[in-house]
Amino acid sequence: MISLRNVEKSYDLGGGKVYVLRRISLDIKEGDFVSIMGPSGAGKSTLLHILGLHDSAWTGEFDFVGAPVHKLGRKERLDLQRKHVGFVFQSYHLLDDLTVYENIEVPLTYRDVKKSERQAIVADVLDRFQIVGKKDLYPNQLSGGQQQLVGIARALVASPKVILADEPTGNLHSDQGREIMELFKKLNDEGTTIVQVTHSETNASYGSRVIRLKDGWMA
Amino acid sequence: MRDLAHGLRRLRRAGATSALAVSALALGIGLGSALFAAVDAVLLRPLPFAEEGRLVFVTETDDQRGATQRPVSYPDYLDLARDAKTLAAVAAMPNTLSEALTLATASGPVRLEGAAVSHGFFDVLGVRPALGKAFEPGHDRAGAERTLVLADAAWRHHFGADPRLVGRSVELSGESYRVIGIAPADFEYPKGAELWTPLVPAQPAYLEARTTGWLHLVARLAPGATVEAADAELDGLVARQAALATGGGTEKRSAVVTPLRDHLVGDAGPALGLLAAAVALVLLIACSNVASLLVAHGLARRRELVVRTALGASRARLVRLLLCETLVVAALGTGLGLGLAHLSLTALIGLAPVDVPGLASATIDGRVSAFAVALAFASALLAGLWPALSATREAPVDGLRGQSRGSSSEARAVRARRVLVGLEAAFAVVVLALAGLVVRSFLRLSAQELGYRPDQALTARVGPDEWRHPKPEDRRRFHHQLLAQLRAAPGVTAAGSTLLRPLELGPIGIDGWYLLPGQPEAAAQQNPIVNYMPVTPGYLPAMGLSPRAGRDFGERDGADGALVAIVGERLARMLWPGQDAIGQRLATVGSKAPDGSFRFSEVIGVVADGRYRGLADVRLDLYVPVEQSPFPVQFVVVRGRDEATHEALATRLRAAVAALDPLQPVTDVAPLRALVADAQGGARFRSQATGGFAVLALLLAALGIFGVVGWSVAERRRELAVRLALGAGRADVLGLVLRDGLAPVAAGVLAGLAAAAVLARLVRSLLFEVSAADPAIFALAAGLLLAAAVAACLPPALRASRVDPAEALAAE
Repeated sequence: MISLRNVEKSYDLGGGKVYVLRRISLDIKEGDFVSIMGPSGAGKSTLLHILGLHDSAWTGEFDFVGAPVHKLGRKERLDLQRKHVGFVFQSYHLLDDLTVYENIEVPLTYRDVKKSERQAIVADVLDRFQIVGKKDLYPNQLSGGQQQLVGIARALVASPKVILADEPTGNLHSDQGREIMELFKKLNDEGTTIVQVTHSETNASYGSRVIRLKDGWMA
Repeated sequence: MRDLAHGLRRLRRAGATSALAVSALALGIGLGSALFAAVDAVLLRPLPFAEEGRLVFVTETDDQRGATQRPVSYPDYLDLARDAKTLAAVAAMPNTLSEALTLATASGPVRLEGAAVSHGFFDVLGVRPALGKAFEPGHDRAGAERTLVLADAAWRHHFGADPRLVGRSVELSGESYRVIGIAPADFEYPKGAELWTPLVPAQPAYLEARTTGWLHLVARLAPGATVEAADAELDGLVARQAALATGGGTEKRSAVVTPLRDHLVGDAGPALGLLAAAVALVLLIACSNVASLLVAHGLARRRELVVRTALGASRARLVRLLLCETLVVAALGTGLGLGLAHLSLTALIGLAPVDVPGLASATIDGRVSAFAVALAFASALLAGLWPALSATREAPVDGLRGQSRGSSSEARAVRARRVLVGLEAAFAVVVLALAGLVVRSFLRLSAQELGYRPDQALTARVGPDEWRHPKPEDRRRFHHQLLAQLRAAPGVTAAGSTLLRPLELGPIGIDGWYLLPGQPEAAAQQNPIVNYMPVTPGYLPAMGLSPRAGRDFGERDGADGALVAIVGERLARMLWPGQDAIGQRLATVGSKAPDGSFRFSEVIGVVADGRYRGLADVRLDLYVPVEQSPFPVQFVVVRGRDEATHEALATRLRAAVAALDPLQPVTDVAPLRALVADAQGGARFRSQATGGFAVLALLLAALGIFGVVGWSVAERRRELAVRLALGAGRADVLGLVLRDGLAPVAAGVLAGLAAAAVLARLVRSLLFEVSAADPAIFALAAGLLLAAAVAACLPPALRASRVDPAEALAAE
């Protein structure tokens, strides 16, 4: 499903190039639950954003669901991302001015899903995550765990093939973190591919495989 | 729709920021729309003439003798109408409303202002009477039946809009006139005309003399002819006529052909242009303010935008979202702005001088509303597009990873807001400099020494009407008796009469000639033109003209007495430099004897130069006693003691006139001060309006600077705390913030001064005794803006200097 060959990312600084990722080659199959781990500055989040098609400034080869990302233009990458990727952020990144319902609906509006269809999908997701009662609340009226729950619901609403999660429990206390990880496990059991960045061995234990990075290299 | 709804919600949540943005745009759109309504009414709306673009106004100029807009003589008019190939048709009318007729009504005699016009007048203008017909050849033949065309307003007011009036005769000034037509409701040309009669020159001198100009011409260009071509052709024809006038002499006259619209609009065109420029600049400042707010907002929303990108939003969708929010601001601004436009337009019409054609009819109609909406959308695009593009330029990965501080987008936003502050400062300096020039010009104009004292003097037209007093000597006797009565009245210190009131007709007056003893006759047409004024004894003290030497006219200076004249200082200096003018002699209008010889008048007095034909217009004044002049007098000037009010003077004047002739109307009663105030009207209006815009520009710019510096201090709180923690003093931080805040302002001020220097040249024609590059005004504009900028920077700078490092760093 995901195949990286010799992917590298660097920044041009005054003194020359500084590499953030070096010669990354990896394969992720459909249904995998992969954890990317490593110390701060190892390049974990950078790798995750490359996988999420948010970053295009890298070299190497990257095949995603059969499409050669390294050969695609901006628009094709955006289409690919819309179709297959759901993203969960450490800081939830819910849109402050939108209600829970509207936050979950946002990805569908960018995929030109009809209104009646959107209503049905969002209602279904709200029900599935048991947050129907909170649909009219704004993010600042929710706890951190509830916000992350909405964040995951939002990532899932467009039925992506893969969910990328950047330290999804980083801002949560342990009980909330455990609930979120169990939810990921359940989603993975239902067939969704999950790639998470984490510092926590406990969180990594929910997955099937760990990729370790150090100073931009795969360890 | 979703984006619009979200825009509205965001605005509601943004509170003060939104209110500021909406207010700034409302101000710009309101003022812009009001001025557009005025420009539309005065400059854009078609005149009520067919194919008005082909209509021109023709006068002559004689630069050598200091005469501009000189009227055309009757023979010259006939020749031009016959010979000019570039003109399809030409009509003539005297240069002042000359055919006032008196209508007897139940409430007393009413004076109807009339214009005598050649028979082709209505055809040339392409105007068809609403009822009846226009003049035809033959109507203007001497001895023909008296006919007239009535203005719509006069027809409604005095004749009850009776359609059966057409074809009937009415009695005016003791004569029977047949009404042949009623003009369309929107037709009022020349301004003030209530009726039109055929032009039938009564005196042979007017028919034959090429040296006596008294007509203004309106003409329709021949198909394909241009104003320039007509000007060139008429120059040749007029030069030929000038040669004929002086028997092959050296008179150098040329034609002045102006599009009729330009002539009618006069200096209202450049004045409205100036105001439009001021409004555009204020609007740009408002847009810069809004854009600046949006840039700051864009940065604050950076996280939201990158999240949206990560969730699948394309850049176009994000730009659309941000623009929708700006459009909501613009829509609210338009609503408020249109309300403001109503108020501004009312104020504009109230402030503007009364003679700006069409201004009174300006309204906020569909066109103006459409303009406001277009302006709003343009403003929204102008203010919103750049911030929207700037805010969405960032790759999502940078934003998602929380690289806010010191990121390229932040640097871009800082640069953008600095540029916007610089632009605001530049625009504001331009408005301030232009306003400064216009205000200084007005102050100079107001401080002009008029030569006469306008206080405590009342003027009025008393005629008398020719039909009541057919002989010139009867009319002169009427004035003699009236003035005697007035002088005897309590509270009156002086009274006199003249033909034309000061400042009322702009540059129009009697252009007279003079001849000095020993000069050949031809010199009369080569010497500079004098401002010839027939007056009665007592006129000079009634006007409060300061005597410089000699005496006033008296009873002995009658028709049978020795010819005498009084000259203005400037004429005295020019003719007899270094000599005493008293006792000198000159011949002038009316002093040519039937045998062709000249009778010379003795100069018996010298008075201060008076501003009669414009506040900025000093002529060579020559006064002659009315008894020794071929011209009559019409207006009386009464000077009261200090305690005498104008109302009391007017009552005494009316009583005195009624005692002499109860059927003689007293019209155009006005304090002399009011005539001066009217003449200052245009300059005062420009001064008040541009002054108002300058204050607004200054406030908006200060607000913008305050907002940017305040935002910058909030953004740099951590950096400032670190500096303080590292040992910087409060004064160091204060200086740092002030320097950073004022640097773009200073750059903007320099750019603004350069732009103002260029733009000021365009308004040079509106300035009086003020250079378009007046360094004091430019320095003042720059100084004011810098002072406002310092005032705007100081509160946030002081706040910055009071940052508690421990608290600020702990919060991080």
